[in-house]
Amino acid sequence: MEQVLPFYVICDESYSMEDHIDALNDGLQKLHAAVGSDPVVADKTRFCIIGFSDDAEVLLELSDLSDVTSTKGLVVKGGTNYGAAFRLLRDTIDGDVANLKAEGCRVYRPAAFFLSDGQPNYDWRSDFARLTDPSWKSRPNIVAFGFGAVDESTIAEIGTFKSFIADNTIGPAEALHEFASALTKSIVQSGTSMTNAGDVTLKVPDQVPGFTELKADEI
Amino acid sequence: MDDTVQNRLQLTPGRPTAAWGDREPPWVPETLGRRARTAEAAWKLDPDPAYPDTVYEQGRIGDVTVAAAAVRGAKHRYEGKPRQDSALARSAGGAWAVAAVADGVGSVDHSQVAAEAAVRLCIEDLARRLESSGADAFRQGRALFKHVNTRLERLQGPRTTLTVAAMAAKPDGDGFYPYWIARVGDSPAYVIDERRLIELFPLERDEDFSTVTAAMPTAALRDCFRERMGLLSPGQALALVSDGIGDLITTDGHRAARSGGPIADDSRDHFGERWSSAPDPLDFLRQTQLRRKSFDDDRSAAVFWTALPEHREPAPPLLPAGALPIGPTLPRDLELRAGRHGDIEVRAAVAGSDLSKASGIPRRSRILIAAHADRIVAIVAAPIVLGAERTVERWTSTLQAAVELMPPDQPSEDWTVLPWTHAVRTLRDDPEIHLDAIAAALICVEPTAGSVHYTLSLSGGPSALIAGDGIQQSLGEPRRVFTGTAGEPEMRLYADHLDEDKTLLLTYGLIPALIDRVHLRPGPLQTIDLLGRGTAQRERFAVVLWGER
Repeated sequence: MEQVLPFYVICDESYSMEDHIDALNDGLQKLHAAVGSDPVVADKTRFCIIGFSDDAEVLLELSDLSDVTSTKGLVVKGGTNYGAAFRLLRDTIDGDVANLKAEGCRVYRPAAFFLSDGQPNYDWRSDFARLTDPSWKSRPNIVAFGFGAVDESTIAEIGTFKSFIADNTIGPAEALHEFASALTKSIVQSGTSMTNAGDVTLKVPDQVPGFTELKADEI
Repeated sequence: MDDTVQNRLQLTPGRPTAAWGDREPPWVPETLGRRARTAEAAWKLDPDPAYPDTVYEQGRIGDVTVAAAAVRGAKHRYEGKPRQDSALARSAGGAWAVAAVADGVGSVDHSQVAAEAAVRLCIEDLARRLESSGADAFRQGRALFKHVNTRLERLQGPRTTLTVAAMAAKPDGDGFYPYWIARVGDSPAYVIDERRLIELFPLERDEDFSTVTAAMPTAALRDCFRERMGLLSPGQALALVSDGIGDLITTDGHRAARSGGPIADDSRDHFGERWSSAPDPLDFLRQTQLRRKSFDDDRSAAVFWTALPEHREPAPPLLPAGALPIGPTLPRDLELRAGRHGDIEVRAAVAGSDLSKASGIPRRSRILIAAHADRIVAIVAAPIVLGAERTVERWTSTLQAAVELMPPDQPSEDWTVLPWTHAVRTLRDDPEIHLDAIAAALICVEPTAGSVHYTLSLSGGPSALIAGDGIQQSLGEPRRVFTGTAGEPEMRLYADHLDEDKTLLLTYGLIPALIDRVHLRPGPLQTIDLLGRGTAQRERFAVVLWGER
């Protein structure tokens, strides 16, 4: 059947995002347009949006973006429950991979882009351990973006592939546009570099304006 | 207002794009499953004119018919990158058919150079071994691959997979056709038996594509060399393919294994059914390009058949291997180039003559198409008399070098006249060159307001016409005629606007009256079909150009 590279974006919808949510929604619209205009990428990638606050919700089921004309947008709600997001992400990936495989697709390792502006006010470590469990075959590569009141070491821990922290060199709205643009670039670059010959690798820009990359090996 | 409605984010659907190129049967490749958008997108021209989009050849020795094709994948076509697969078929020692397929490693630059060199080096050396040792050459596989590996090291960078096979042209005492096949890398090979594909090499990488393929040159040749010997029954076929095809087949193999029964849209059926006996060349090329969403890699295949279907005329004899020069231009029986460049659409196909091939002479006509800024420049030449192949070769390469030196802001007429004059002056005094023994043309097309403008230098017999609106017309009076001195051919220069509904057709060896309206804006495979408006006993080419907004 098809070869599929699934992307998940997990966005913080807590109250502190109030001033930034429009920028983020706008970024998602641009992402859709950019991916839809490149047939190589559109043919190979699928995209899912998960929003979280006190709870987590799938806003756009894993979809072929060229088939999608609307999605539930991000709306600010309550607290910051990372655990609910990680739990839902793991269950969603499990279901999606099983469905794709049942359709006969060959599925590449999912990529998850996690964005938060606040400290978690619920316990999340057990859910995170489940999401990154090395014995779980579909565990995603996670790219974490933090800004606002977020704790650096938390973001560094969540980004199993790469982590970025806003460095306040640009405003938050602009930074969120850069986040969406980095996400788009990652989808396009990973989607076009994916060859039938194997070596599919998640490609993420080395530099995202407004963000500083957190080195995983720095303690 | 309902919350869910209020929160909906409208997404602007992408502009619906009409499929480009071949749009109708019998030319458009089949699609399995959902729309494959990349395969329907417009092609960009091959960046290196020495590596055309599609190469194909076929031939026969004894009971064995072989077809070999390499075509750019949908991704390389869309991105305007070169084809990195290569394929070649030859006869050896009057008793063997040999063919090879190579898949240049995509992550390394210029891997098409390695793929092309690998098939030539390998076929040449294998043929030599078969000529001197017969079937004992089958025991020299490691030495053969070591030779190729050493030579590829000299390229200093580009890498490729390589699969090669040899098959006896006549059956052994028991009625079977002995074959030997060897490879480095992940390009699979199949015996096609009663429409079923039987994989000859076990799959070595896991289903999740986690390993990188072995490729040459390699320091670990001993570890990645694989070979098989076998006997083909009459009616069976042996297929070597690159993973552009192999991954389709493998993915469906896994799918079938999981489902435990027959599956819909099985690409294994596609190839098994269509390649159980030798298809017509155009069908073979179309089948190679089976469309499936997300499978956009280059495709190449070399298939050996031991029996011909009853309705098929036997193919002309395979060319003997001989010495195969290393360099970009080893002509195949058939070449195709096509693409869109700005508002200009171009198609070009060239085919050799079966008659020459029967005498062991490869195709001599040449086509080179290249984009220079917003212009398209096409160089074509064909020999009028036997023995003029050297002139064709020198003429096209001299002209190409001169075109590449043209300053971009020079007017179009200069782009045709100056390189032409330069090439004539460079070559006219060479005693081995006979400029009046070739048919040649140089076309330069550039966009202008509302249409495109062409300049065409013509010498010695290609036929040029403007077609559209149900009429065909000649180009009228040439703008200038350059009458050469002794040994210099007369050159006619034409220049005009090409209206939006008109097509410029330059053909050689075709009968213009047989060209239908449907061929005036042909898809790529349809352009190959256009060559059927001439006899296969002659060399033929067609260049088709038009402006499209």
